[in-house]
Amino acid sequence: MGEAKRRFPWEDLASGAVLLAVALLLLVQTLEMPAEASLYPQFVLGALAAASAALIIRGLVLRGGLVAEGPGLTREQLLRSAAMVAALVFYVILLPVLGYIVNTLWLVPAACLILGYRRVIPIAVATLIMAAGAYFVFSTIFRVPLPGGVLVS
Amino acid sequence: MLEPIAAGFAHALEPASLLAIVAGLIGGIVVGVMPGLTATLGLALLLPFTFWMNAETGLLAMGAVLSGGVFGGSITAILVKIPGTPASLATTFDGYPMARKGQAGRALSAAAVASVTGGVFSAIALMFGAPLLSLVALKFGPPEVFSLAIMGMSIIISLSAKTLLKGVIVGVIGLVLGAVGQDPMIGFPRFTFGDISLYGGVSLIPVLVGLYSIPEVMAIIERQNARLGVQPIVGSLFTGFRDCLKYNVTVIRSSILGVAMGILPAAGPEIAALLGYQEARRTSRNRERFGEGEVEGVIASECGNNAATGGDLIPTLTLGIPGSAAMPLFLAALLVHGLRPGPALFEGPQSGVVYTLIAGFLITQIIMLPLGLGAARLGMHLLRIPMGLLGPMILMLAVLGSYAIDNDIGSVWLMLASGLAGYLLQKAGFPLAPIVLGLILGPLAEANLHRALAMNYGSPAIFVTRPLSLALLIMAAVSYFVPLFLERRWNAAQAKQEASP
Repeated sequence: MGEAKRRFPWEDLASGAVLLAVALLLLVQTLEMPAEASLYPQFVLGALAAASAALIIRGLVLRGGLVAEGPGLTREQLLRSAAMVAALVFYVILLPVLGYIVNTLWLVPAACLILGYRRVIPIAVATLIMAAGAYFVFSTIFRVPLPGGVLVS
Repeated sequence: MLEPIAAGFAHALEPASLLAIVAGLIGGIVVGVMPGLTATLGLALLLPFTFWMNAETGLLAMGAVLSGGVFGGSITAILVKIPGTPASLATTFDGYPMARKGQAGRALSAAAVASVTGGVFSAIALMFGAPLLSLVALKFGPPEVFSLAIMGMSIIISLSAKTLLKGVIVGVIGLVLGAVGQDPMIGFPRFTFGDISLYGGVSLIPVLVGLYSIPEVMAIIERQNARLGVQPIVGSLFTGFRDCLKYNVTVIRSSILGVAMGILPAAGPEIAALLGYQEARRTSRNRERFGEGEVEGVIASECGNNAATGGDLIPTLTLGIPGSAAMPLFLAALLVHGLRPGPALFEGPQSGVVYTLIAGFLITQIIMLPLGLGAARLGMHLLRIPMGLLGPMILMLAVLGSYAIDNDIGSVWLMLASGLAGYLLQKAGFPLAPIVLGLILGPLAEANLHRALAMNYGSPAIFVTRPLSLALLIMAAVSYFVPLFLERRWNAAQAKQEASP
């Protein structure tokens, strides 16, 4: 039986470096705070910096000894993930402009397609439920006005 | 003590309460059945909507989602060999082999009866244990509360299955997020970057909803082509009573272990189920049949995980320390309604809420039996709902839930940012639940750290010179190491079993 393939833990190094940088930046900010307000953040940010540094050191010292080689994301899955992130960001940007109903009418079908689901009738029913159904429930039962957008206002 | 319990039952038996329980159970079973979706996700999606319910109804619905989710997970564990929730892992060991042998009906029935028995056991423990523990908590001052928060953080151990260092890092990220906003001593704004909406701190609910929902939806992209091999339900669904009566010692032992693991902050239903299974295998006359379709294994696992669910609520309600990964959501639900966990929750007008939750938890277990058996067949059909259709609906519930909490698109941004950051962290191998823990316990720890230091002229010796505080710190140390020891013992037993011919 062959030994499981190992690889370099790049994600540990990258996440450790980002978190260490954030911790140090915020630590610098605490220097401008009064002592009463800065004691606790300095303690937790110090802990974050130390733990992030430990993650980087562990990755460098043990190299390929930690992470088992996994299948990883395919190119298609990466593209789909990026498309989903973009769709969600656009949805929130457009929410005050288009309003909840109009905006949801494009997001639900788009998200279904990105997730690989293509049957038209179930998508149409789900879109209708999530757009009009949810709008009705929120405005009448919860009395929460969902964004109407420029079209309604 | 009996009078508030009776009042709790009266409230929990009202039509609106029963409706919340049934709806919660159905919702919980649905999320529990869907592989990849957990009871915790169900709780996160429900949480913002409890804002419009009264506190009792909201908490009853959440308790029902949790119980239904844990049971729903066993349906998938038995029919597909995928634990619907992590707590059902041990159920796959014998449940799936039983299904392959044409005994899926017997396995599901045993799982339902065992779940209900474990749940009833834990509800009774909750009913009488929680008020007693709250009496101890009355003696707590700032040093004890700080030590308690440290003990609560020990749950990170059980939430960091693969790497403790990464669990600690995300726990500390939660503590950093908890430090955003005005400090509790002089009100100085920290890390607000001039944004007044951050003066009150990072809003808990959008962060919770984002962390639990967005990574789940993104994960669907990776498993979109997965096809599930669902075993058919063959055999009677009413043999569970006979099996549970036959293995009554296993039922009682697993239930006791489950409640104990639930009370221990660092161990939740996952460890309870594994421990119950391991003890049943060790002491059973049929130990050689374990792993090949032994109904006693299913009973041990299901009793353990459901008994831990009620056990988890004991430290959550009495001390404000979450007993498992799902409990921070219960804490958040209490806070949404202005209820602070602790001894005060069991006294005065607030006690009605907590006793209704406790009584309702018992009623939930009883309703779950017929509903759970009915849901077993429904589960087979639910497993065929395409995740590509379910994912967008989860997204929309996350958007609606985070927007509606304070009618602010800023909260939707916060939900999305938390969700995407959570997804990236998850891809890099970090567990997400410790963030929530840090976010909840951080402000509690900080405020009491300052108060305790002020009591002793700035000297931290106060944490070890007061007996209760010292006892809590020792218990925190035990909480950190016991689950590690139990897990190691479990892994060693597993390795030994695999090595034996």
